[in-house]
Amino acid sequence: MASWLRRFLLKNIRNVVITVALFSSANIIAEEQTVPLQIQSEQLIQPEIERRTVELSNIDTEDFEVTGFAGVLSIEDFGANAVFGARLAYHLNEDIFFEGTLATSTAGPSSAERLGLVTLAGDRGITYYNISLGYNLLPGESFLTRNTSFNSALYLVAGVGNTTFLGDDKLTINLGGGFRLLATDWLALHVDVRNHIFNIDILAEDKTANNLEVTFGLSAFF
Amino acid sequence: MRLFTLLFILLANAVITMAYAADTAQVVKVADPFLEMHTGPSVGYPITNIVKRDETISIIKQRTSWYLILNNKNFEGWVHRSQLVKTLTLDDEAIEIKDVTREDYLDHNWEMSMIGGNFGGLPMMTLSGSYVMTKNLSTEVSFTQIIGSFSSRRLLGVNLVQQPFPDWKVSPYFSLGAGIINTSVKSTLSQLKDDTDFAANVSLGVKMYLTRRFLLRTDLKKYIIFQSRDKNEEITSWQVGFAVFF
Repeated sequence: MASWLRRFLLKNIRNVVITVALFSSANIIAEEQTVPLQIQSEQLIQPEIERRTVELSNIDTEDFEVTGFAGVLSIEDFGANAVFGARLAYHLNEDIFFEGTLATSTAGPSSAERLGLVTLAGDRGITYYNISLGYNLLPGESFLTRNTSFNSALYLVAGVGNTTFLGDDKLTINLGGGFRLLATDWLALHVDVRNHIFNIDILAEDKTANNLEVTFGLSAFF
Repeated sequence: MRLFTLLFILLANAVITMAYAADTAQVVKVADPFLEMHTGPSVGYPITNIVKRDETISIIKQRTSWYLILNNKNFEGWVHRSQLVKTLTLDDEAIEIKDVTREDYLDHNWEMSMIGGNFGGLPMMTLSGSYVMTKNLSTEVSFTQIIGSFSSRRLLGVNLVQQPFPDWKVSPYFSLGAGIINTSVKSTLSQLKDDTDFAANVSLGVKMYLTRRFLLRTDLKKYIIFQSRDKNEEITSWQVGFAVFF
């Protein structure tokens, strides 16, 4: 833009705006006058806003919960070791949920091995999966301070699955419970304590091992 | 370490995107005398606010039978479906907020089941997912684990399931399937070696609609395992469990 024109526009900005506005309104008036009377009367009735429909199927449903967790798994006679895993839960209603868990840990040396009585072959890695039924107990609010509270619930869990331990598959029953603290509507913190029960027959005699696990988890509803 | 950080950021991002997926809130008018707003999606959580008849609310999301709503004073809370049954659009038209019903079941596409039972005397567990192709026919992919005291077996199979009367309350089905079965012998019995064989199966089962997205499922299967040794192995199994549909 030429500098003289810019200077002129800046100096007379108010006049320019008024002139432009007048021109355009004059145009609108001219256009309106050309509209036939019939259409004008239709427009008088029409200004209703379009229908406000409700699509219930568009509402976001959050019945699934995915959890990542870490903690300690103690295998009877094989020491306590770190455990890492993931869970996927489906909430059937406010009380009942189903969940699948997959986790991995390692087996430490057993006392028999430490004493040099046996040498155990097989992979020291432990992998387990299970499908469990959960029941929410005691829903309520947990107060962090006088004015800050979070929704929370205790839950009980029981299920069956498999544990691959020292290269062998073991039918495993898991029993336990946990505490869920909802940080937001969709994000929750978990503390879980579970007992994984399976038979260990590695040292000749078959015995039932109670393997306790304590984990901390973070979950998201989706 | 950098890779982990990147993965973490990607994961966090995905979770946040999921949580704040496109604005799907629906604005409706309350027709019931009042709504009780709980702090969480369960009767156990305290009621902190109410909404009166004729006020407008936006329904933000749903978890089980509970709806997270925002009232006209910008206050959030969870309301049970039973109080939203009589709801109106802003144009005063009635809308019905329904639970998942048997009608939805008759019209579903995906099914996931978790069943367990007995495989020729040994405990077995099966996780399977199926896609309903027509009202009567579905394909199913299943993973089965059989845990014995001397060996453990894993079976991965594909089944074709035919349900002749899908709308019966207790509906029978037949299925034909094939797969591979892996037998791994206990490490304490090292004289035997592991095997992978082909297997075929035929089964007869029953599905029954229970509630919401839940089915009860039971089946009786006959397996034939084509062993690399000279004789085929024939095993009968039964299983009972649940299925969820979507």
